[in-house]
Amino acid sequence: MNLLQLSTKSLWSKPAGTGVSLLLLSLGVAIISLLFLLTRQLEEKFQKNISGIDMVVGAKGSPLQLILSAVFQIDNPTGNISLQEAGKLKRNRLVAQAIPLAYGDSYQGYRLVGTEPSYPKLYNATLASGSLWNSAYEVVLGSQVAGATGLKVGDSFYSAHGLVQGAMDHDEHPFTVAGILAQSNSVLDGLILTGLESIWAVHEHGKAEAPAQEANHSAEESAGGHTAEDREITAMLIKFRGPMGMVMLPRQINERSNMQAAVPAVEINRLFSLLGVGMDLLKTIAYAIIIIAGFSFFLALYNSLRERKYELALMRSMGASGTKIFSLLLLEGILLSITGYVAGIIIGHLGLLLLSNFTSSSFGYEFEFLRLTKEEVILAAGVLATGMLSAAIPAIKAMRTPVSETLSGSK
Amino acid sequence: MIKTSGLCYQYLGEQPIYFPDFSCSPREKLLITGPSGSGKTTLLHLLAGLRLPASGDIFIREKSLRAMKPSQTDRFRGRNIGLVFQQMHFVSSLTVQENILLQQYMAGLPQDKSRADSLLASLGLLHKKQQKIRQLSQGEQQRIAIARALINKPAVVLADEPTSSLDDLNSSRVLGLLEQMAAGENAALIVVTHDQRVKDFIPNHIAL
Repeated sequence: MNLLQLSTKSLWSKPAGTGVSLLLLSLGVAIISLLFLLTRQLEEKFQKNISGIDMVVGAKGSPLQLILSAVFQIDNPTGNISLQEAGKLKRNRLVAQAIPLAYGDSYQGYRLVGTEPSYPKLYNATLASGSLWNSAYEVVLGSQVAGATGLKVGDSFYSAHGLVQGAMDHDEHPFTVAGILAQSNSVLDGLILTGLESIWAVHEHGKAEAPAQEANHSAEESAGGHTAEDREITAMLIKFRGPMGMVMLPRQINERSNMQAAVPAVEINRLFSLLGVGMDLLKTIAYAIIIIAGFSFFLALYNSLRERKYELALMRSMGASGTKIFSLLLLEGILLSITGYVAGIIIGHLGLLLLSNFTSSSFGYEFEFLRLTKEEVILAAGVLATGMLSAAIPAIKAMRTPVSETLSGSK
Repeated sequence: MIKTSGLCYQYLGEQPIYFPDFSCSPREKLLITGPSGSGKTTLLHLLAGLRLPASGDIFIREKSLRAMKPSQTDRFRGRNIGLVFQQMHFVSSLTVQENILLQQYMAGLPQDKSRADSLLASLGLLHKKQQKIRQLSQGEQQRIAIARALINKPAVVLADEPTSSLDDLNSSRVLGLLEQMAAGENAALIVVTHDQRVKDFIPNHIAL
């Protein structure tokens, strides 16, 4: 028998009184922990994916859409640009590297991206098996794609036109898996990479039979059947040689060409400041829930004093000091807050696991649900303080219970 | 050994109550009777150090309760005074055995399960030690209270109306056990009651 056992047993014997408060507390903690995890991991993922990309060039439209589609592969393309025009950038003396991307097709919901070997190199991706593509119709799978589709080196498949599952198939010529990338925790994990010429070739064939395509699909098909000068790509990822590029090129491109230049860092900041408003609101609500949980702890403990005052006076008559009674009640508050916090963190992380399953199937994005963020540790201190604060007043009242009057029933 | 001298208590705005001096040695019994409102429970709480007298003093094992600080009084009471109340006061979330051990824990003494068990055995309640207090009858609960009062080998056992809520059979059984066990543990026994049945057990008698 000790104080810890005593308070545990006392809490356990009256689960109804404290159950609701516990539920509230764990709900608040779960929401906050989920938000912390989401913002932290989204930011990290985004930062990782834009490293090495100073500017993205694509068709005119929303700059955010261009960034989301070209860098993160989670939005529809803005349209196509001429390879010839984009190719001029490559020769610009301010540009260190230019990676062309042609996308708009998919296989089982995973995007097929026509590019150059410099694209996987940008993310320091290494091959887990096989080799990079050497000729048209050869592809390299991202690790997640390989895991989800079960395709292996040497297998072949038909791509689908468009970015959604079940879209019309390009069934003239199958793609063959040449290699599989090792996991890089970047956008590559959810992509199927191939050479630009494969994309052009698919649409050259497709052109003859299916001239009309849906609007949101980028129009690589218009490249089909024409000379090299008319070939089109969807976007180009640019890395500058120095800071001068950032000053000169985006403005130049946006003003003097029919292409659009977007800076990932700027767009991502904009996105997060937009998301931030919603996140802040949710966090405020969650903090309010925690404070309400604190109040309800207070009420539950305070009300329980009425029936427990005999027990507490009895403990005093057995030799317990007022301080011991105070500690007993405070410990109950602490135990409640720890339980609520742990339950909340578990719920929050399970929530992230569910969300991760959803995002990985629809966007090819995954979250690590086992990691604890620094903010969550700070939250623990906050929750503990809430529990102690809400237990303090009942504890003081309990400490001051008049022993003699209570035992003789006169009060 | 417990001894009082010149005890007086005064409730706010009321006449002071003067109590006669008395003493009670180990294995001795003393009955204190009086009509309702004569201050029986007040006297018992004064003896237990639960209230402070307006004047006078109480000596238990030659220690003056008046001279102690409140926290010292709490600890002294836990170790040297066994209390049996009229109402069945227990910690409802604990088992029978835990309720008895609680007295040792609260008094800051090591918890001795085998001593708790042997007390329960002499009260005929060992088989109920893992049950919750609520599952016991009133007579059984009062016997548990005796075990609890004696667990720390107190100098004096103070019983406040220990039999008033019991029937004749349970009343004599509880009184017999209380008397016999207090003597067995070398404790002085003071019973405060208006219950006439108790007089047959304890001839030594002070009327307030």
